[in-house]
Amino acid sequence: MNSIESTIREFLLQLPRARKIRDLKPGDSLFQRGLLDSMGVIKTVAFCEETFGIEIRDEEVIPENFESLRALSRLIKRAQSR
Amino acid sequence: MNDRVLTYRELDASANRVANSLIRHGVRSGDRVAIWLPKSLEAIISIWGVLKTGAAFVPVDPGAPASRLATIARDCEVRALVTALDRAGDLHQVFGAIAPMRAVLYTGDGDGPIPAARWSCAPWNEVAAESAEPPVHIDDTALALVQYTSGSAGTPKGVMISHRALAGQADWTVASFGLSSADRIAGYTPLSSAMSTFEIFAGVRAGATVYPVAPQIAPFPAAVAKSWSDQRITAVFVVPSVLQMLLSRGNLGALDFSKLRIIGMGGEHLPVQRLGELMRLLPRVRFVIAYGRTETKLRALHEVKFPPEEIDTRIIGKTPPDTRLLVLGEDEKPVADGAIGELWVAGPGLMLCYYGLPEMTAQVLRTVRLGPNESVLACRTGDLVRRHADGTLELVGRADDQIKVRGYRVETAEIETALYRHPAVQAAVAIAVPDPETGNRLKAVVVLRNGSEIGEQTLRIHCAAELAPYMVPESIEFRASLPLMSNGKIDRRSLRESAARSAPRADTGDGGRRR
Repeated sequence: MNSIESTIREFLLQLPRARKIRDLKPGDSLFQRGLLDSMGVIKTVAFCEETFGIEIRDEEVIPENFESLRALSRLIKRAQSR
Repeated sequence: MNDRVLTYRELDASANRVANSLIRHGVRSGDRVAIWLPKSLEAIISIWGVLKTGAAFVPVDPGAPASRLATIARDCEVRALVTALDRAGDLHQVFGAIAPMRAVLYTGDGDGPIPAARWSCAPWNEVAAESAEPPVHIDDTALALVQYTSGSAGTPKGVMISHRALAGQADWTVASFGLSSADRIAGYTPLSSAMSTFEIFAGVRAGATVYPVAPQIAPFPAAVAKSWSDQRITAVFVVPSVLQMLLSRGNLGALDFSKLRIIGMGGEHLPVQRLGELMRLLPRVRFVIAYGRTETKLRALHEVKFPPEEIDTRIIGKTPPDTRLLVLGEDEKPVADGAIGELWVAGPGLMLCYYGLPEMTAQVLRTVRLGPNESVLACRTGDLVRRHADGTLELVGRADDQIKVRGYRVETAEIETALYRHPAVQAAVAIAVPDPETGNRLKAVVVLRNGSEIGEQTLRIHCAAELAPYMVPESIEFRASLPLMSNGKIDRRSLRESAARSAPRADTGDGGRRR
């Protein structure tokens, strides 16, 4: 797990919906684990923008980019390289 | 899943099959059937299937923990449950040996995981083959829906809605918006929310096409907006917090909404600045603010003209011809124009009662004397209003501690009750804090017992185990004591004010984006 992944992991696991989740691997589906609802997505975007000093575009807030910790980390790296 | 299409004929036949299955499993006219499903074709078929048996449907938030389903199912003694396979696994654990329901119908592929000891189970794809309508007579005044809403006594309460109330709301919605079979209506609001009956029943009444938003894309504003653009949606009914999300993250300016003609909103307050932004982005769309309560159903519509003014977001607009809005004082007598009073609604289609709560019902549904020879049955709303000299009715606040979060009404007592159940909690208050992206967010202020040391996360997990997700406080502040007013009551206002001072403003800036 890279450092971006573990930072987001820590954030996600404190969301209210994370109550039953103890382990979360980089490739695990965030939706199957029931972690993200609409509020969770919005909060995750705001958290990533603030923490990593990036801008995530509206059209990037789509299911593919929030599929897993790995997908989110790729999205953040793309945003950082802009 | 997003691409499946049902004609009305197919919907009717499918609903008949579900109805026949439920009847075979013992559901009878007058029973209750819980539906614990995301908004989907199956959910819509189930609603009609349940209604065709003469039973009432009881929608339960699909995101809620199974314990909340259990509370509701026991409260109104549901006879059967329609759910999805991935939920069905929790049922045995939740209900154990004592379950009110005798049958579970589940959607999804795979083997049913539920041991059929206490209740019988049937997979969705094995519903009855007979697609003839069951021979059930349904009275206009019969119970159609039990809608659970937050209860000030600490547990959810079931609002009982008749067929007549649902039909009346559908008719008036169709007439007011001119809905027809040419309309394509987006279905975003979860079934458990009072607003969702809007599009489901009005859509059917109009013969329009209803597009439920797929649960997979629902959390993504830009994906939702794009699907509405692609589907050439003509009408949308949502809570303002969804519009706020679409505005700040929906990429609306880049999409084609040339077919969209109506945005109806209701259930909470949308800051006028955001409304103005939306109206500028979508100049050809009619913006209508709806007023209604679960107990009264939809009762007023206010169409906003550009540019919107501050008062537009608080006006209670035109009512159906059979409805009267009364402004009464604490003595339950009309107050003078210009004075603040409580709004009462009179007319057909009010709730029948709260399920199993005759005393609470008697406080809310009352006969109001309007003159020496005139009295009407009216429903008190708890909303404080003022009637202006020109007849305009303005919403000015609440008579109680009820708050709105993401369009849901929340009794803070219910959250506080959940917090108090934790052994480490000595005192707790829940308040709403303005949030730029979602309208309101929930915060709890908690005093712990001496010597207790628990974290915010532990308490939130505790709450999430019994409350619907939107009721779980997003933040919890620990204090040594709570501020009190001179009468010894907790000073909620000072807590709200200090929370709001430290939160970003909802009504300024570039739409709340943190850039």
